[in-house]
Amino acid sequence: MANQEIRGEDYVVYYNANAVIVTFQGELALRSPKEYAPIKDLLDEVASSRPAVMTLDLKKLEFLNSSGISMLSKFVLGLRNNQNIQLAILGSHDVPWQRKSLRNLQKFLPSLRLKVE
Amino acid sequence: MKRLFSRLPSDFRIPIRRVLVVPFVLQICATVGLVGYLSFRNSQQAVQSLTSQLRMEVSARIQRELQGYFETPHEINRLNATALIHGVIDVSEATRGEAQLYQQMKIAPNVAFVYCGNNRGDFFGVLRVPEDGSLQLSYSNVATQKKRQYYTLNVRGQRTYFLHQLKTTFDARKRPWYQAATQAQKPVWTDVYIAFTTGLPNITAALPVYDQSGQRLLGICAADVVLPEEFREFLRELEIGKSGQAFVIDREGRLISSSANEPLMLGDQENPQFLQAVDSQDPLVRGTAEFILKRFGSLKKISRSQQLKFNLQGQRHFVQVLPFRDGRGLDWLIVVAIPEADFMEQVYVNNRNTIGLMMLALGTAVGVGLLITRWLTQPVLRLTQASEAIASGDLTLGNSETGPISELRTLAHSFDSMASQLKTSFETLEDKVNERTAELANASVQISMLNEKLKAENIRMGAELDVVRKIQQMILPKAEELSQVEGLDIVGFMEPAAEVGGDYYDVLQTEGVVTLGIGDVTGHGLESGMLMLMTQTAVRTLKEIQEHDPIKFLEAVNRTIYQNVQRMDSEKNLTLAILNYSDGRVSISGQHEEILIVRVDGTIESIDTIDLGMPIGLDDDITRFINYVRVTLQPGDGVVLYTDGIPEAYNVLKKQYGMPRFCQVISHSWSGTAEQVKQAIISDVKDFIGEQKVFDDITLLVLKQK
Repeated sequence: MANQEIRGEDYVVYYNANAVIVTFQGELALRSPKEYAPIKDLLDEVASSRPAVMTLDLKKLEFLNSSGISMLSKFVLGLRNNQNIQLAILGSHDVPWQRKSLRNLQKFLPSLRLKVE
Repeated sequence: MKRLFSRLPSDFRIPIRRVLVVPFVLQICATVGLVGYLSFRNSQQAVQSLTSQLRMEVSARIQRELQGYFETPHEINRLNATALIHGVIDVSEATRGEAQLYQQMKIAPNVAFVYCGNNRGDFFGVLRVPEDGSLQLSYSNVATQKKRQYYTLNVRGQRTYFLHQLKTTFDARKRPWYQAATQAQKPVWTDVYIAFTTGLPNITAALPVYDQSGQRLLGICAADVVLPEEFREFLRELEIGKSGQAFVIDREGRLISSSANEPLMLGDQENPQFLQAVDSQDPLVRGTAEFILKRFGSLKKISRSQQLKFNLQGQRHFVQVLPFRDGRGLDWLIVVAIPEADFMEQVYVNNRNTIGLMMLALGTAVGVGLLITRWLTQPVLRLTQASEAIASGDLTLGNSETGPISELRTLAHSFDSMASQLKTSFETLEDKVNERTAELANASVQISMLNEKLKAENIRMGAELDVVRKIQQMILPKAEELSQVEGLDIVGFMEPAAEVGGDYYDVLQTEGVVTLGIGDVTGHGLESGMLMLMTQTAVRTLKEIQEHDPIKFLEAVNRTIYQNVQRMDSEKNLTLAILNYSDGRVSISGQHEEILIVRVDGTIESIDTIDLGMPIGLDDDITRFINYVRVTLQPGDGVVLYTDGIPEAYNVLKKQYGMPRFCQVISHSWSGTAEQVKQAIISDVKDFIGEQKVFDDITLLVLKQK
């Protein structure tokens, strides 16, 4: 699977195929789950290629609305049935939404390697 | 040239035809004119030098002729003088001598009479008869009683027949020639006089003849020249131009001879007079004589040859005046006058020819120039017209016809290809424009269709939202319900955003237990509204069956909602906090925003709910994540519940309202009633939001221990 990029007015989601890292940057506040579909598809596609480790870098994602958090939560929940993939999430203490929401993800997927700096 | 053109005004225009023809014609005019003028000047000078030579030649010829003419009589006289001395000529007896005289007359045709007279008045001579030119002997002596007798002569000069005898007596000694010679004692010319025999003006050369000792005059030998007629023949035969005249005058201005055709003697036989040159009938002779007189004042002053010019009747004339003297008494002037026109006529004819040729050359040059110009300019004009046509947008032209000039042909070819390229690009441009217009029209149709769809969708969604908004408001606890709650001062507030969200709050009281719920469904719209409604129902149901175990309570709600969400095939979930109050004690469970416990003095204790639950409807079993905390409230203490619509409210500067400001407002207003606290919070939030559109529902629940 090749490198991919999804770019919106206020955000960029970039997939680095070599390192298997999906990087989120900017502010994600799409209006509905439908609008999150392309990003969800990208994450599912990466997961379906069964990498040993998959990393989500959220350090520079300044804002994610409830629909976005919901989408992310569901993706993490989905990985519970796929123990072969080691998911790692990189977060930041400086971003308010990550303080509570990332902990929820850890709960959903205990094997998740959460690294909040 | 450049400077010349730069001085012209900038809008000065001149057609190419004139530019080409004018210099052409000017050059030819200048060249032909100059050549014509120079040839005219040369001819004039040639004519002058020619006439000068001619005059000199002519006057010299006249001089020679005159000398020959007037020398011969004297030579004859000398011969006859010798003959007289030796008795070869017998004057007194008239017996011999006529043969010698006869021969002399034959040799000298100019001489009219050769004769001698002796000192006794006798006369002997041979004359030429004016009527037929024959020669006759004439003599008079004592034997003829001093009467002149005439005899015919044969070819040997011997007298043959007696012809006649004159009636009057003749004495040689009384004749002017005899007297002049006697007086001069040397060879002389007589003045011109009327001849005795012919009655014509004569001039006579006379020679006195003396004896051996040289003392005694024996007689006079003389020869007559009938001057005018003889000499005029010569003058007339001279070729002096076409109409030139030559004449001889003596110093008194009398015409001795003239080439002009007029009688030189005036008056009758008795009293003959000479014609004055100034009275001549011939205008050239008269004019020339007048000019010479005027020029020199007197004819006697002319001593050397003169070449002169004068104007007569507007015509230039050349004149040569040559004095003629023979040392024996002749003192005349030879005058030759030639009109310039005689020679210039040819020059004028040449001039006319030159002018004619010039005009012809000029015409040819102009014609050729015009043709060449036409030939050159026609393609240029066509190109100009074509370019004008193209400039005005007509591209149908092409195939510009040009002559064989290669540059013009190249120009025309490039021009044609340019025009066709323009045409092609215009056409493709037009095609493109048409294509784009069609595309645009298509797009516009699609856009308006989409617009229609959107409008319909909007109307549908608007109707949907209206329904949701109604449901939301309908299900909220009434103000009377809240006021009936014992021991608590409670107020609730909910303001849905333009697109209704899924905020939820409820206050339920049964048998001394007050249950408060607050939640926030993700997203907006009908689904969110429905989820909120279902949550309210589930919470109320559990409340009615008096399920007081917060873990079981939330687990049941989660399962109910999860199953329904699965059935709905929805992506939605919600946060939900449940508070149970009884006698000043509050238990809190479920994951939601931070719950604010406000003490009576306004200090705030914030309770993080992340570890008290999980989002509802996301996972089928959240039992292990549910927990609860207990808080004790003193009178005046209270709880503030809210949804993220308050701390995450944005203003126009894209700044969030934020928790610190929220807490500050609560602390400052806490001394008031729950209603007053609510009012303070809402007005501060609204002040903060200002003109900014509200994106999310704002929900607030304030309770205060009485």
